[in-house]
Amino acid sequence: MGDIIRIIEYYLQDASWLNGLRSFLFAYSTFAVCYVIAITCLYYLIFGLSIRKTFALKRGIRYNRMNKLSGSAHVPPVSILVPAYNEELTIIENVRSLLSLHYPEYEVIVVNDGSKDGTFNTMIEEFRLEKINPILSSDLKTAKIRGIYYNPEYPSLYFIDKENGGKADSLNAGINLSHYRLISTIDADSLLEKDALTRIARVYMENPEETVAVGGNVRIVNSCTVEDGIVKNVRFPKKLLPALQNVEYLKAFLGGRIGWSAMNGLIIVSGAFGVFQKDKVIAVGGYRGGYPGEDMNIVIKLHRYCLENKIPYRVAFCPDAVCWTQAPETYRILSSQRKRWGRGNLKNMIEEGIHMVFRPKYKVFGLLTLPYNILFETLNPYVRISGLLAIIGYWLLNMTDWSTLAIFGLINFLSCFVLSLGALFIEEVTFSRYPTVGDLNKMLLYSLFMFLGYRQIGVWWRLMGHIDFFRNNNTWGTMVRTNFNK
Amino acid sequence: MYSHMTSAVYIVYGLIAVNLVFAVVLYGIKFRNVKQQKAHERFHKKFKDYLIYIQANIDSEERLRVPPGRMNRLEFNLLQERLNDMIESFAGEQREKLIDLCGQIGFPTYHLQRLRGRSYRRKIDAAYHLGCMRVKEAVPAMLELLRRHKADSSLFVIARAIAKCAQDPKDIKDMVHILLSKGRSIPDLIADMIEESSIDQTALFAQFIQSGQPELIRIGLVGLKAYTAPEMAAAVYRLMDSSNKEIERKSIEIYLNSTVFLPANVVNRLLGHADAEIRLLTVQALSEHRNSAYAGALRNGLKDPDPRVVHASANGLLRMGEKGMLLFCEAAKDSRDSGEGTVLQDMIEEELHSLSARTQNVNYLTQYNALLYAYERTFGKNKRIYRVV
Repeated sequence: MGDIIRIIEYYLQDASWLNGLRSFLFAYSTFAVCYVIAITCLYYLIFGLSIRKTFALKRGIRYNRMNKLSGSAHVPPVSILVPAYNEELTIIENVRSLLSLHYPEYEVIVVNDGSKDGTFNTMIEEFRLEKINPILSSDLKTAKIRGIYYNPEYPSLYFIDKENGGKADSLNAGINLSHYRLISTIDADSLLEKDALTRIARVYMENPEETVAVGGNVRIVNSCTVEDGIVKNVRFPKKLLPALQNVEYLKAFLGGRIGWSAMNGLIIVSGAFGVFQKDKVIAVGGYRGGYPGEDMNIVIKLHRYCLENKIPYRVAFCPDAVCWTQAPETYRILSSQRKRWGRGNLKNMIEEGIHMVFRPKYKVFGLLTLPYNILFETLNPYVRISGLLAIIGYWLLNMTDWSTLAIFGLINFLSCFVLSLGALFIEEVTFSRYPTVGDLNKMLLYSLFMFLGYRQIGVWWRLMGHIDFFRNNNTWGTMVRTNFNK
Repeated sequence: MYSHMTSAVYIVYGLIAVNLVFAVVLYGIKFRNVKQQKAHERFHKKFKDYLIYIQANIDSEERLRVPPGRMNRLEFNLLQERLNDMIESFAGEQREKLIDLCGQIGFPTYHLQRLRGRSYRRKIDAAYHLGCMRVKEAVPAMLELLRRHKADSSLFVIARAIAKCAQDPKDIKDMVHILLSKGRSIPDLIADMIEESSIDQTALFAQFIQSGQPELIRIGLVGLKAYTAPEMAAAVYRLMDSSNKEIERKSIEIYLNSTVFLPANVVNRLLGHADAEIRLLTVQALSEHRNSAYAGALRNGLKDPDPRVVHASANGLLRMGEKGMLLFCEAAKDSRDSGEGTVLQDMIEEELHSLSARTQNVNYLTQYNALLYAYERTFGKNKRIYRVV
């Protein structure tokens, strides 16, 4: 031990080496400051756009009568695709909820992706389905279809049983069977609000030719009361991890996606709930199989296809169309989900993003969305971890002191916390889903807690996801389903 | 360094101040929302009897009376919301009575003043409420507002309000022209708005399809898609040759839905169309007619390159009784004998198998027997066929 200390002291006394390190750390600090300023400015720009859009959104929600529209003959019919893998616990409630949506014309296509549990038997028995032989389009290649099932008593329900091929493959199989021009993708562990599809249809109908995709808002269902597939009593999650994810989702969806969609730079339509023009999805080759992140991938491909072919388009976001989803409650499942997201993001950036970034022909998407994603999302773990190492270096080389670090840490925290408050502001002004003052106290408290470990561990998970990617670990990871009411 | 640190400390103070302001605003909004919720509950308690009175007397000949006592601004707004909901739920005389009640309370006058005001937010709010109450005096001001409005979501709030208030087709046409001038192609949304108006919509949509302007024709076709009166077939007939694909497709759809009899030349033309969707629509329409005169056309449909058309033709023939089934079986035999495969024969056998499982229903049993008879007559006895006794 004494030898090691003597070696460190020796090297620290070597002035030329130390000066080089000092110069490097100083240059790094300049880069880091520029990086932080750039990301903060971009965050504020997006937040500014989101807040600017808030009042128009509020008017749209207040002055459009959904009951009337949901009975209109002019609302476009939609094929709802529900990929299901080992979903026997939630699938029935989910399908029953989907079958009772307030929407004039739609079909629900559940795709069993070779589940190993009782998903197949549960569906067949519950809805008394029988095998049929409809004509399947061959637009998209998929794993082998074992059978298609139907019961005329549930005229809008179809059930595809196929060999395991992943979520993207299941969505492609659903597209091949779908009968309508719009498709909607919904996770089997999620619940749609009754008027969610009508709300998305309103956004679509306001510009049907250009709207290639519309994303819905995803909220956390944990601790809420669910009856007959309907969220009856909205409650803020009681457990720590779902509560943190709740404020994280609020910030991402309300603070981020509203702003990105305002400048047509939205890079993702959540796999939990989104609506797409079917012909455009087929034109870009359908969902990419074999890797997570297919929800981001399809949106990137749609941007690319429309921009390269000079097709006027928009990818919209509809925050009042709500889909309730189960958030992971344990560290293990959450880390698995986040590593998967990290892998998917990296894959998409390597596969698609890198060919479009900083190229003017891809407009806002190539000049703002992708640089933001690559520099501030994909590369974020490396900058953060190198930043931490640099701080240790500054400390060891007496280049800084605790008060400087504390002040810059405070600036970082306070400037980010404003954004959390901004997201809560949008929530309160526009939706106010959580009714009590106590709920607001909790949301503020958990927004604060996010900075005390949760965000840092998120960076670590993302890095682990990248390591999985480079090690060719391509599994979906752990995901445990539970009943909606526990 | 000192100056940088001082600046940094000032930035911290500034950020703390911004955070505090945001937090105060946030709590202010929350307390206001909670207060409004409580006021809402108080309103429902206070006006419960009055709302029951309205529902109980909505069908009576007597004019509805205004609520007793004075209302504060919040109660005034909440009653307006409640009456709006009721107006939208009722039609005819009941709706008129509710609109009359709104007039007695003074809602239209109040919102007309707001519509002429300077605040954009109030103008939109007033337009919405005036639309709910079908206040025809508001139409000119709302058209002016629409003309100057940018093409965002609120544009459609004003347009819908105009459609609800308009008493003259000219107002609707003006509204449609203003919307189209904004560069959006939104036939479904415009047709949906027009259907909320009290004017003769069918006549207006018919005028649109005669207009010669593609955008108006599209709106007219969307508006008429649910109509199945035979005169519709004549109205859209000449549009079936349109070079605009959407107009062509929609007019063919209306034609197929509304015509009583499909002439052979039209059937042949549509079945020979390059677009598989149109061939499919035609075959489906022929199947719906269940007229054995179309059996030959459906048999031709069995040779279509698109499998969906083949499937629909097969289903159509199966629903056409013995003649259709016999033709289907003959086509299947011809197809097998000419070396084109046994796809059609397989379809018949699958249908027989499916029907055999549902023979407890007499209709299915009859279909099963007829198809089995046609099958055995064409192909001879087959061991694979399950026999129902």
